[in-house]
Amino acid sequence: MSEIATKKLSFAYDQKKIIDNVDLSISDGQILVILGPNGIGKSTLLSCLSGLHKSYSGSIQLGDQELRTIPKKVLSHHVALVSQGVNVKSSLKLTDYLLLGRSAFHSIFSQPNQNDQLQVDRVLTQIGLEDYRDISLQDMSGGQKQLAQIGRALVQEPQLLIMDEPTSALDYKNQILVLKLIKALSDNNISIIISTHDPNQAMMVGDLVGLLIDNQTYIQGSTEEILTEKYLSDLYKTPIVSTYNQQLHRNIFGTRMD
Amino acid sequence: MAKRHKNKIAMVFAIVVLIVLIVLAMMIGRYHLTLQEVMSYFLNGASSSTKLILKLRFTRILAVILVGAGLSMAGTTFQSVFNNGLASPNILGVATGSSVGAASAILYGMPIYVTELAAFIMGILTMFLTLVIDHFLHSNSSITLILAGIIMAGLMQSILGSIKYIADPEDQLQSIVYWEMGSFMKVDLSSLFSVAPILIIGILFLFFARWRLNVLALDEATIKTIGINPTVNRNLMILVATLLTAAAVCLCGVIGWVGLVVPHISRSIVGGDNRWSMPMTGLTGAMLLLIADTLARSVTVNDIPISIVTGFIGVPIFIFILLRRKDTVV
Repeated sequence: MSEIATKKLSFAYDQKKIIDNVDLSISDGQILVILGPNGIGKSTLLSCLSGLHKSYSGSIQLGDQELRTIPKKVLSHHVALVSQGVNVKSSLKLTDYLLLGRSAFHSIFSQPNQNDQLQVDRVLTQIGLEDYRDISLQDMSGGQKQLAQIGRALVQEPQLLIMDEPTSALDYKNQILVLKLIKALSDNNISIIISTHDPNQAMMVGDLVGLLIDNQTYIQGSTEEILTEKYLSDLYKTPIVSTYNQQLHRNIFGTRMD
Repeated sequence: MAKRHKNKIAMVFAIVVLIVLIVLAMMIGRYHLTLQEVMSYFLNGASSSTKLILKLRFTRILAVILVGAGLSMAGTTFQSVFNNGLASPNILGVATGSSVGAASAILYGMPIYVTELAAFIMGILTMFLTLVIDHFLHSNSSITLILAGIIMAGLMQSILGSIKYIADPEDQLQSIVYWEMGSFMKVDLSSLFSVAPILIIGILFLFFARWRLNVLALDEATIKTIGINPTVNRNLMILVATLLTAAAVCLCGVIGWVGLVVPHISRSIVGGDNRWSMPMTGLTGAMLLLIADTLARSVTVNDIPISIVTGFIGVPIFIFILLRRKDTVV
């Protein structure tokens, strides 16, 4: 169940429509990058797709099942979420923190077993933090904490990983680290939905791009179709130009300062 | 792996120290006994007078161990669930609330099981009201929960004062005052038997559910997407911790500092993972309260209320913890 599709998805909070009529879809191993201005409802959209809000209207199909009918425990084995800007204040060691992702595989009274530990070891290699397994989370850098959060989600063995602005609090080096990880995960056939403010990041990792223009309009298409000067300028209500970079083999986006 | 090995050694060491403390506590008292006399009690060969003393002492020691472990584990639970190192049965008002329940039952001359029930209901009610006040203070700061607890503890203290005011000074007042500062002096086999099952069930529950507590310290959205219901799990943990506090209050009154300080001591030994710190908290709490009670019943001719002793032990430890405050709760 790594395919997710919404039809006329709407969600209101306190009778105020946050998102309206969103038709979104993603299939196996694809990366969908969602762009949109601040406060437009990106986080709400991602929360709906993660199963956090059941009172949406329209439909969200995960595989061939309606999302709200899937029990939380079952859903957690298919979909994992990395929330935005969560400052993990934990004195747990990295390996014990990652183990928390295995909680849904156990009853309240049981303890993690050998298999859980194997999953954690696998993910530690995947996120490149094998050498930090016994380091307490509070002693880690921002980038490492973000990788740890992604790791905690991966330990759930999801086929769909949803990340809300996974690079927003990171320096450039760590942004690249996380984006490379996202690429590698999609090569392993995990579908990924991320939100970001940076069209260049969408260009770097996206197979699909979705623009949340206002709470009435969502358009989605391939990276080439959507990441155009016109769409981006309209989206951010500021002139954005693009230029092809020979060394990077891709378009880069920017704005003139004069 | 090295850390895990270290934790195992610490745990075995704590068990050994607890056993040694039990034997010492059996020997120490107004009538000092030798190691041989204590050993022969367990091997069923002591003289009848020694047997009587040791039976009384052993009953009291069992009560102390269960209460020490129970209160400390309740403290660890509150601190994990609220992600707040200052949360404890006393600071959240649960202990004072329970003592209001117990005092009311005493006022009406109720039997022990009604006293227990009243203590539990008032404990839960106080906890609930503390959370309601915290909710209305509209803040994400961890200090508002503590303020809410202080408000509720203050209110409960006033109600307790009123109960004392109308209590019969000949009989009831003494029992109620006994509750306020905590003492194991009146613990006998029948009171222990009526409360011990609740303490044991609560302790076992928290022991086996200790890993789940780790995940409850994460943020709400993450817990949900991990597949755990945060509300149900948190409330269940709060309920069990409150039950333990109420049971302890019924047996020996309000004991200060243990539920606050012991979880910090335990975390400094084995780290923040509740899989290790929960059992370590139980053992350390049992040890600390056993030392406090042995002092309370042996340094003067009369029993000293135990909260006086735990205060003298707890305050310096707590200052030390605040000075080197680096550890978050989990």
